[in-house]
Amino acid sequence: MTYKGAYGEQPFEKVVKAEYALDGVKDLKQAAYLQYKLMLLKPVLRAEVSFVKKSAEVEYVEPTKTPVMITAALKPVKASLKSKSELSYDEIVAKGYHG
Amino acid sequence: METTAYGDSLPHKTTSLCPECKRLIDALIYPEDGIVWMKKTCPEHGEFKEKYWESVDMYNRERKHATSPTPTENPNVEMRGANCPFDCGLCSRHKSHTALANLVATNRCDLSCWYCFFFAKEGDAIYEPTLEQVRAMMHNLRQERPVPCNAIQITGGEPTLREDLVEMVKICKEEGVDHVQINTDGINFAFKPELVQALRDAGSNTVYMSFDGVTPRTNPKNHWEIPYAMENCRKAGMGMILVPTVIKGINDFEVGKIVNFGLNHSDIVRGVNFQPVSLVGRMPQKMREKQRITIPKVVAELEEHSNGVITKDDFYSVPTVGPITDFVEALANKKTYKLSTHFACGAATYLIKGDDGKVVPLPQFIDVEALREYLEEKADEMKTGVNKYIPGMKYTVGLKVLLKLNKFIDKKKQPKGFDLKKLLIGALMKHDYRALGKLQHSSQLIGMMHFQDPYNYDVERVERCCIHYTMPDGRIIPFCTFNVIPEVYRDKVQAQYAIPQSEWEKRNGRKLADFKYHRDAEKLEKGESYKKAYSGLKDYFAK
Repeated sequence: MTYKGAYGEQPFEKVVKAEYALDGVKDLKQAAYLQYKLMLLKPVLRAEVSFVKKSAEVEYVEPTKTPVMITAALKPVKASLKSKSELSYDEIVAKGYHG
Repeated sequence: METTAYGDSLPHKTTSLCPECKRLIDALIYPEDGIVWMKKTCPEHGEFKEKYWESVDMYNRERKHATSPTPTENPNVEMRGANCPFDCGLCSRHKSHTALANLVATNRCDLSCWYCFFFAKEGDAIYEPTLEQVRAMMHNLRQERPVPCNAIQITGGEPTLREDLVEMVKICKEEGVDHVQINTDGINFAFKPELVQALRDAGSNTVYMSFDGVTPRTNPKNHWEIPYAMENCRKAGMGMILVPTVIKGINDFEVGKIVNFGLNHSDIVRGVNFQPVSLVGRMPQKMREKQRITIPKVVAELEEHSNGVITKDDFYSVPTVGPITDFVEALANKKTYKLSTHFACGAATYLIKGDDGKVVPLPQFIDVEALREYLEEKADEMKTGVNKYIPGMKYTVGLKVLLKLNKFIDKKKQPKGFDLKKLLIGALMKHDYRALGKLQHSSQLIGMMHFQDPYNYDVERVERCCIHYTMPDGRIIPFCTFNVIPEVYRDKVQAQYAIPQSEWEKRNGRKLADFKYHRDAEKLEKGESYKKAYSGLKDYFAK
């Protein structure tokens, strides 16, 4: 599916943004590795794991199967869903563009 | 573990990646037997020891040239780089603005080199940003503050396979980019003179041409086509940078001949930019030891091949020019282009050909260290104290510097017929650029740029990177994250924006295989351009 937005043809229209509370993140390096593992998941477009906030923010498509993949990728850290919302991909892309 | 800050002495502690699982791990950069090594241990995959730089002496000289950075004030992502290099980008941790942005035009290629990881194979999806996306990406780069990106390299795959490449160049120019260069294998440059002319007319002034050696054995990729590409560039007035990827045991024994080739064609070749091989992908240690070469070793080979005409002391790391930027910034009272890249990433020198045909590297007649020190002092003078409040004082200081240049030039060692001071005064005070134009045809920039791989990865280098990739999703990614961690940047994003090959072929009415190049080497060798390019060359390094 392609979506014609303000910054040219974009591959997605709507994406899910979910925030997880993490229990058991040991240090900054583990947080970085968990972020890498999340980014490896095909439906995950962006991910940020914060050691300080003990949280993970993930933007993804394919909402039915992706949450299971996310919690599996974060193991052995325990992830609990804190919030979930739907937003337009154009909005996410727009943030990356200056002005 | 004893450690130091960036630019301090060895040993130095940094952060690297496990080449197997890409986990962030501590790494130690340390001297041993005159070589700088990187050592790191992954809790899962064990210890890795890799050559980092093949000269402790050169490392110790160049670390002192580390310069203060000019980061972007308006990062593209909200992340702060705590998980660097997985937060790109650019994030607020990144230390250098975009000096050169790569724009991937296509992942199609007319060649199928066995070692290349970056072209669409049979069945792979095709990534080609639309012109609308290209404009958005250019606009994005031009909005970087305080220094907008002003140099674009259109790359691939093979960018000349795109029929709208000229349009892409025009878009770059319309968005205000001054320097647009094409990174190519040269095949289409060899056989489509009208394309070269159209690119030049659209505003592209340089071609970044793959060129791995002067023989068919060392340069099987485009040995036969280069002479014809050169001829077409010559006709169109397009400058050329030769770009050899240097691999130990494969073509490192030809680095001197490559420079000599460039000097013989200096009417069109503006420089040679050596790229010591980046060992991406998994590779056993024995194989890495066989192929690994780093900047100091390429420089040493060049010294040997040139019979000492070019020496290792003639090369300076990229951030060495920092004080010149600081001086210009102080004079103009605004931020300007600053190459604040890590000192281990690149090095360069400048060769000048005299009227007598002798080649002299610029640092052999300019006292680089003293000039750096003087410019630093003058920049400080303009930025501090009462001088900054006195109108016109900056220009007085600028004039003083220009008039004092003689102090740093050894006239006896200057190439015959070459007068640097006269040239600079002519250009800066009389706005007479003819001499500078002439200089372009009698000089060569010899550069080295060593892109990283998972084995020698240094996060401190990545966070100072000034060569970036622009992506259609609004992010700007440093070269060595884009290509070293492709699974989360390059390949991932390109897959999102790509279309299936079958769809691409249906839309364009052509098969991917139609674009593959089939060479008639015998015919090409008979051509006048071929003979002219490779025969009767002068040896600029003869004893």
